[in-house]
Amino acid sequence: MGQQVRSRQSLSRLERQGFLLQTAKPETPNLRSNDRHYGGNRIERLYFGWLRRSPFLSRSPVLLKLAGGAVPLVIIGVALMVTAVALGPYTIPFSNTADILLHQFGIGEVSAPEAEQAIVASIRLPRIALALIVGAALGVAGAVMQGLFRNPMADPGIIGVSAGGALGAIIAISSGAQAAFVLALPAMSFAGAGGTLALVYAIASVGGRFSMSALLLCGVAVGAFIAAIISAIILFTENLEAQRDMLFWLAGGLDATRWGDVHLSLPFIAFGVAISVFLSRDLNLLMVSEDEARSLGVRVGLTRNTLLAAASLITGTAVAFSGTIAFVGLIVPHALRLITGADNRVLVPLSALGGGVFMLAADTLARMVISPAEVSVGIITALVGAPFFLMLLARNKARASML
Amino acid sequence: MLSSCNIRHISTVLLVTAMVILSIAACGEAAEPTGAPPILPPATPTRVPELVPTNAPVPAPTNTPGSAPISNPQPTPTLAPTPDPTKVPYPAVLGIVDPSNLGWPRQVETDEGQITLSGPPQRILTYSLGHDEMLLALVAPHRIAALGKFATSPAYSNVADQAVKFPVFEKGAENVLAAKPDLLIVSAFTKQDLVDLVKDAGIPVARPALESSSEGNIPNILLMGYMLGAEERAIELVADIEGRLKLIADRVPPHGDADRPAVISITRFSDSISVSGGGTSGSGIIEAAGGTNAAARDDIDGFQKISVESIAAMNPDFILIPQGPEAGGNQLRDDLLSDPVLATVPAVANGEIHVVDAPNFITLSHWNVRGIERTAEILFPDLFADVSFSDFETYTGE
Repeated sequence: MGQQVRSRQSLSRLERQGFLLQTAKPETPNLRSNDRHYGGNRIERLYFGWLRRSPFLSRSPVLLKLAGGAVPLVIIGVALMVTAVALGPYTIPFSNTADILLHQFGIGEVSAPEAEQAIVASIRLPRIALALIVGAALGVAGAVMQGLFRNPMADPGIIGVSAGGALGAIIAISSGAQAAFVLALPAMSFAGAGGTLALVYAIASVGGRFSMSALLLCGVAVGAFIAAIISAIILFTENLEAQRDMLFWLAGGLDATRWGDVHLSLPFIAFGVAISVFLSRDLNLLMVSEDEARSLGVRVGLTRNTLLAAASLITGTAVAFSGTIAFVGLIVPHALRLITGADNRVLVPLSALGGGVFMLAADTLARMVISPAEVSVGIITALVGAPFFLMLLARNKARASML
Repeated sequence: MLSSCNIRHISTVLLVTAMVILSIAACGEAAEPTGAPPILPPATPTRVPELVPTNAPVPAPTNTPGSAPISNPQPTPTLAPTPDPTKVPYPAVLGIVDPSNLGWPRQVETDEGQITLSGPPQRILTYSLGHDEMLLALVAPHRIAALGKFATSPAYSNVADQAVKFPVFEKGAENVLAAKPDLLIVSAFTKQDLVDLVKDAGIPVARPALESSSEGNIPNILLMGYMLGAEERAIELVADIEGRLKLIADRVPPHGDADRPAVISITRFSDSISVSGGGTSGSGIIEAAGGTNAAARDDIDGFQKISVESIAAMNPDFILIPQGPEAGGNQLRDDLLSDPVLATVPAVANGEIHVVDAPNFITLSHWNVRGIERTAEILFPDLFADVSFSDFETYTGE
């Protein structure tokens, strides 16, 4: 009985605090009102006033915050999707693009030339879809890793999973497996990511005493070790054509995306994202402390391992289909945290939306900035993402200390 | 902790930097091409029955960064079919300190400063593949100390068959010194640190240019011929290059002619398709062979990544794939032929997608003339049905 009372009190305290990283930063200001996370200018007050009219949203502060972030992200995302599908080196009249899109949903007849239909349906749409999927994966994996490790520097690749995925891909190319079997590269990349997670976890658990800080250190060390192996493989590959294959793969990107890539990646990433969202409440408690979480009934080991596996699954899948794209997983959760607060029940699903939108914007820019040629999307994510994030940091100086 | 003011300044600077970089990338003019495409004189297509060495003057070399500029392009030397080095001075080739001096010692001046050669070098080392290919055409094998690993790779080298007979040296200053050269020839791609180390060891180093066009390399070949004491062979080689180029230029439609087909040269590595834009050796080859490089026409400079959609937008009449047939070249051709996005593109509809020898297309030596010849045969098979083109020969004399 006493335990239950204590649990309720602790939970209530955590709810009030908005799940900011109180244990890490005791001086963090206590934000009592959930609405405060969205600032207080007139437009925001009007916006949240409008959202609160919904009886469904007004009952739950979490749903209100979720909807508050999701509505603008969805609007931006849809606008970006329309822009991305209409733009490209091949000029297609917008009316034809609209006809082709509607026809995809079984509405109306299409009169556009077959080449235009193929370009919209086979090149632009799958690329947009994969950008959204990969961006969502990296955003969610970043949010989960930052939460699990209580470390703002954590990104999806922090425990070497990205490096493991890259090693799998490099081995697939250098061994010739990729040439023999078209799915060998994503399969081996995926296996590399999973194998690395298992290895790092096993090393961190040696002696029966597992700790997250040991896992982090092991991950960094194994990541560096794998990076060295990748460099050695590239350097010692006698086949210079294969060498170029590897370098191009490592540069990453979404060019040459086809529907097959979308169909293969979506189930894994959707599954991992769903698990992360489902466990986001427990992640809040794990962020405070494992003991606190345990006292509130969370099965700490199982939750933590499930979240680690889910984040690694989606990171490995994203790496397998798009190469290593830096920065998305690092800055998207941070940027959203500055706007919405640190409650993972809001942050994790919004990171999926925000990551997808950011990745789509970056990829559209990558396609168009020197069209008909294109630049690697990783260059855009870093070039545009870093200044954008710093600007956000400057505008939210008070909240920056909470990161 | 950074103050918000500082962060705002930093973020503004970064944002401005990003904008500048993106706008530079967006403006094709801002990017310096790696080499000027060859400018051939307008010529009327006529049928020439056989390949005849000509007395065409050495064209004014392109003055690109890194190349030896021509201080006084007039008068240009006249090259006879059977040249006599004592009668052919080198006034137009900058880098030769005294063009009237055909004896020893002689001085040359490159980006590495002036060096004096007391006699014909006997243990020559070249550090870049383009110079390896020129070297094999100019001097006897016993004067070559070693060749780099790239020279022996059929994927990159035009002289792989000959290069395998030489000792191979790995890159690095220590390996250069171990080969005991009496002259090291480096290119713009060679690190200055290595050059300084080798110079400190008392070995003369020259850094002649490498160009992406055949014509641009003519003064480089003449300069190398002079510093190696192989003037006669250099002049023969230049005459051969010019004869081959003239044969093509005389037959294909001139620049700006509507009959020039649109051509692109692409490769694919790890699903990423790259195209040869303006300023690349591939672009120079297409233009010299009588085509229009559709990528350069659409303002692409250098090697750039493109999507299949961009190929459809360029709408080429011919697609060249300078990539090994078994190293993805054939697969790329098959994928393009079966891609519904490209079904109406003339190159795909007419089956004009050709896997060609990569070394001819990516080289920075005179061997890209072979690429021009091969491309001309592909673009205008009827115009060259009576000509049998052959490879350049390596020097086999003493």
